[in-house]
Amino acid sequence: MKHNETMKDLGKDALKGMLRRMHEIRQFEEKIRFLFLEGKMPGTVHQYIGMEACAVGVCTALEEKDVIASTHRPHGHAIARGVSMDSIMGELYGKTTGCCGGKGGSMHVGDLERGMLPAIAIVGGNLPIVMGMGLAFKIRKEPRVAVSFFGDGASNEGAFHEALNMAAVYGVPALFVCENNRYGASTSVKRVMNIEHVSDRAAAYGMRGDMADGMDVIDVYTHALDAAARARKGDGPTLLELETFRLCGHSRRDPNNYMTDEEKKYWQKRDPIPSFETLLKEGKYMTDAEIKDLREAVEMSVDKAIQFGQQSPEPDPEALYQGLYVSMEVPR
Amino acid sequence: MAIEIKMPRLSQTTDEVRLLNWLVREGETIQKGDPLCEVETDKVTMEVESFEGGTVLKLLEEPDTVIDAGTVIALLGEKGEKTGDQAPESGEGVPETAAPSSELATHDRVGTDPSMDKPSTAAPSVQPRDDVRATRLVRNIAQKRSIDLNRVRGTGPRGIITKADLEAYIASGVGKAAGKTAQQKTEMGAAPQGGLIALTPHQRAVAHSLAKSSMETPHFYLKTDLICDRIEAWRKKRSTPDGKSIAVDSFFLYAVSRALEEMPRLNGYYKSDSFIHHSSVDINIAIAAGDELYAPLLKNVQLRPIEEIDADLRSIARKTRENRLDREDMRPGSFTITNLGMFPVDEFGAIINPPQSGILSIGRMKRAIVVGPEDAMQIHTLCAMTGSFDHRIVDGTQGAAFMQRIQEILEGLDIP
Repeated sequence: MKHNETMKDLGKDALKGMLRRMHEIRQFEEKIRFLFLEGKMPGTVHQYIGMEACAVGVCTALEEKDVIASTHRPHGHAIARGVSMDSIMGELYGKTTGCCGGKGGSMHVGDLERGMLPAIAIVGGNLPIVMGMGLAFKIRKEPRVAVSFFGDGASNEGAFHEALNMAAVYGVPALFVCENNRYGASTSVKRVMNIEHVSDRAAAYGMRGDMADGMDVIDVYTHALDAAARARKGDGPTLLELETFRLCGHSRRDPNNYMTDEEKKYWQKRDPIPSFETLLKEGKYMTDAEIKDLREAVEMSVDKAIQFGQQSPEPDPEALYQGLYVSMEVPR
Repeated sequence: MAIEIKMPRLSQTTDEVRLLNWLVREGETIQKGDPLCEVETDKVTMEVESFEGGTVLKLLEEPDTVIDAGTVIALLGEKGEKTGDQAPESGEGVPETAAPSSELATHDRVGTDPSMDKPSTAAPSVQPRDDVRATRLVRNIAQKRSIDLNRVRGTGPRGIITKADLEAYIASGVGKAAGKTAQQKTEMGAAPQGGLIALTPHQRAVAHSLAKSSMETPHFYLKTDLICDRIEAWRKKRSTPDGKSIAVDSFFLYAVSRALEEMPRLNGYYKSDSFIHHSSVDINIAIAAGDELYAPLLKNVQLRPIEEIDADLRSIARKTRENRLDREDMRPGSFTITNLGMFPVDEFGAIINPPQSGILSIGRMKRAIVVGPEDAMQIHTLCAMTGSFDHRIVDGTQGAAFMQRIQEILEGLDIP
């Protein structure tokens, strides 16, 4: 069977945990979609539906002391990294209980206590920062890995080039995870890239490039684990490209009409959640009933998070003056 | 208890969306996530999905209305549930019924005395008429069809006018006549009533860009008469393969493109203290399609013979009328031509279509006596053409030379 060994190594509890995270992301995003339609969700949101295997696969391969950085589409990364759904929802509603005290909103969720920088919404913005964190880990001889999540669009930004070049030159323990979902907002990657794969660009920096199936959580995990182990050992960074797809619009206001129906259907069939469930059932790790229970438990926790977010207190005006200065410590 | 479906905020830049059409009907049972309606934002056409499942009890907005985010557009509930005296149906204490007084007042005008159509300061017509009790849907239909709701008898709770009442009224002769008159007026492009009619997104874009051009661009105008005998002779002698004669506009496109190529100063536009020069000669042509004004683009006109220009013009005009223009077709070139010669308009000076150097306005052709050399009087076909120019990049002599060149080209056409 596919992934037999890896799944055995992970064990039932870890596998179940991975499925749980994937369901949490999916249901979190689905519920937000309806809250948005209902007019109860402020602002716009960029959703992670269809890309769950990327965040969950990579984050499962990381250790507690590692640090990840995310993008304008950060809900999935935050949930996968273990930031509580309550505090993410609190942040989306701009409440004091939010992971950034309600000052960041959807595009800046994250929690340093959980090993996630508050997300950086500027496209390509987190890459140089992750390079810098990796360099700090290296200089301090800490066995930690810095992970950047970014999209295909970011790989055409100058910051991508600068960060990867410097990371390769200094051999920093970093993992550059490109979630290639084939569209930079509405622009097809084919229109803005003359090469087949973003990971091919690694060669230009003398860096290791690798690819994984971003719709297969175990495949992502396997490749991320390998890359993280190399980084920790001092073998330098990896540019890991995950081939994936957004099964939703770029933002809640995007009807993604630029994707062909054929393309949507193809990727819909490759939805990472049902295919992972099939794997789990085939390997006798979980039964249909267990999966159903898990789904229902997740639904309850998402509902609870929504309630928590809606009922949490608004920040006081005085809060404006808080959090303006930080002590210059490298995130743990 | 019915659930109110509100219009979500679908654009980052505006709260207004236009309802294009409903994808569900009253009485239909829908699932959570099903598409409810199609809407048009300032950027995109998209479907609005329902955040709840249930039976559609009421659709409160009519297609083609502009709706603010947050407005209740539909009611969902249990099958058979009555919406009864709930908010949107009630006539009292509900924001929906607080319609602008002008909207109500204008209902009196249409279909009664035509003389009332003139702007009037007479008090009664601007008095708020809060005594009309009708649902929002009925008000929308009435406004659209210009029906005076004061004339419709309401049979709903507490005398409220229902959709059925309105339909009965329309079916009766009175309603029909009133509706029809208004319809005809709309077709002629005149506002059928004094109420608020929202501009379409394209009309808004045109409005903003022309207002900006009119305020920021120092226009000057040069008018001259053109002897059109040679154009007429060409048209008489030579027709297109399908037997039509070459459009008058094609001759102007031909002449303007040649003149622009010879005078690079006009083939571009002003931008923050610089002149931006275009390498090819691309010209827009103003075309009205219904209530919409478009200025589609013809590219590399300087390279083409008249016949080719004419074929391009016909194809882009067809595309415009069929509403098939894409972004590329609507790009601004360096100059625009606008022609009102099909109307009794002798001459006019148009506003520059920004960002461009100028626009040529063409009036109607007419026979006129021209005093020629040695005071000989001759009868010619003349038309007045007026160039509007941006004085930041074009000065009077340059504009005049440009007009002269167009005149030379068109008055000296070689007849094939």
